Amino acid sequence: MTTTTPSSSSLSIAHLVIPGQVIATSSSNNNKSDRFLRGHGTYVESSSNKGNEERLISSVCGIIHRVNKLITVIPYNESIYKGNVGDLVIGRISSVSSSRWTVIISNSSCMKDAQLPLSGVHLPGGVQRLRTKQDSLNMSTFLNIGDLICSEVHKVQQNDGGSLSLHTRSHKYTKLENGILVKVPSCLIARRKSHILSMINNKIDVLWGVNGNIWLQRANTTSSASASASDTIADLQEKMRLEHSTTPISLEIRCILARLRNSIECLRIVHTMCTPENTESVYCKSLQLETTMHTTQIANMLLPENIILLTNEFRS
Amino acid sequence: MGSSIRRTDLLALSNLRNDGRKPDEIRRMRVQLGPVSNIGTDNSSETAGGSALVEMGLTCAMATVRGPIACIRRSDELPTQAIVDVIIKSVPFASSGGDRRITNPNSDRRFIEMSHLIKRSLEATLLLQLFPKSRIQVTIVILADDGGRLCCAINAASAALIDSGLPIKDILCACSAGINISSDTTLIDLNRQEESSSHGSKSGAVHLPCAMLPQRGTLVLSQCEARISNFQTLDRVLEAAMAGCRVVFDIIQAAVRERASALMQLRNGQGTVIDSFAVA
Repeated sequence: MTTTTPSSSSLSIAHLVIPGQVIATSSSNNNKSDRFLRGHGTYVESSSNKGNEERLISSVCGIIHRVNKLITVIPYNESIYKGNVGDLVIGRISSVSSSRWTVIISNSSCMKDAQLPLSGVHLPGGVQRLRTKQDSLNMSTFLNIGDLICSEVHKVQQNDGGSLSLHTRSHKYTKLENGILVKVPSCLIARRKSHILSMINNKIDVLWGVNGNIWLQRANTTSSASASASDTIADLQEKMRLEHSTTPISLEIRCILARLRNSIECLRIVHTMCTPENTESVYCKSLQLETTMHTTQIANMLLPENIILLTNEFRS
Repeated sequence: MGSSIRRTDLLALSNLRNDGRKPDEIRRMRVQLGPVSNIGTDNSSETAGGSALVEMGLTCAMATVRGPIACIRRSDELPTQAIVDVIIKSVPFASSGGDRRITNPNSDRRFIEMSHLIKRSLEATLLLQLFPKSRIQVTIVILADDGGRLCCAINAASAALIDSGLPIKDILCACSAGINISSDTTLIDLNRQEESSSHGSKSGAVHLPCAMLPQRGTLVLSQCEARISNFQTLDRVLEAAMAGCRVVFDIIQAAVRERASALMQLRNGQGTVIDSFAVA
């Protein structure tokens, strides 16, 4: 056994390493089976003076995560969202160029903007065909600068510094209107099976973008009276979207949206994972407190003492 | 009358410096990670992936890091690695002492030189090949200047890089050193008075800022404009500066560990709320 991993002897304790700290050493002249694999957040350096010793050194500050021989360091502060194929991301269109849109998906402009090619969207009406010159001229009528969209990561371009290309080729992914956008650090969003959830008795739809943007909107009611039998699914979707964006939101729903938004904001301020469960529990607690103490109205939720009160259960 | 003490002497009889430090002692250093929020509203540019505020005595610098972002000009892109942009500014009230000239940081040669030196040191620290065709932007603001602003700026930039989570080889640490000619002792982490004092030497005060990667033992920057009489003296001054860097490393390391463990405990639902979070 030539690989020594002093830092990962006990799995229960999370080991904090700082950049430049040596995580493991191995001599490379022995059999290859004993060696470690370099994961994210680490780099390998072979020191020439002590034989063929190879050292695995941490390059970020974070905790060691080890799967068999693969050693990665997960940074403590993942302010930079690193895209994964299939992630749901929420972003804003920043420019329209020929045959593609540029989408800002980072909260702190800490990464390159993502690209949404014209071929990655559904044309209105849902027709399947090659994109023509006419389509690229009409691009700004589909999505214009400043529009908020939810989309899926289609590809991560490794040779281009990890820039992302997106697509919206599903009825789930549309332009977002008539709702609230909440921004949190991307490390507070956990990946889960579904990122589009109905919350608060199915009154609210919440889109948990993995890049840290959360979208809250009134749930889409399926009872569109205007639906006719001849409509295709795409037409129906389009109608529903238009209906959703043009119908004003009732006061009751408005209050729920605002309270939910403040619940997420509470979690962000105390740097706790913004999961649907946590959000709902803060939401319920704020409702309880409002009826018992009459202090935590929606606007007062973000006062420091109320934040501490509402998020008490997440700290042991 | 050889023992008469003048106010301009760098070392008094008790072998203490003007500000009460020992010759091998650095000034009080404070490192604050993440003073700038990394969540911005749509139209504010006041965001950063990582930020840090570093105080070394009365010198204070704040650094913010953005990146990897797209290059401004396509022609700046490098196919194999990222480029580093260092912007250094100074607030008008930063300078202490008599030097209160109004300078334009865009054309002030000392600032341009500083930004070049910092850029080269950061290029030696970052693992740039992981982000081809992109740019990493480091903005440093000198908030107060009481000597050693280059070192303070480098330490702030280094701490901000750690806070941003960008991959680096090692924690870059910087410290300056000088020499007291009359008693031939090395001093580290010079303040403004010691930097500018040329007492007892014909060629100005020796002031040698130095930056290194302490865990690897690599020197990435050392700059000396004064005339030093022999190699042994240079060696001694450099050695003292490197010792100072190791002390700085301990301070940055402690700050980083504290911040990281606090944030991770909060995220996992343990620990208490740090004061800075409770500010809504």
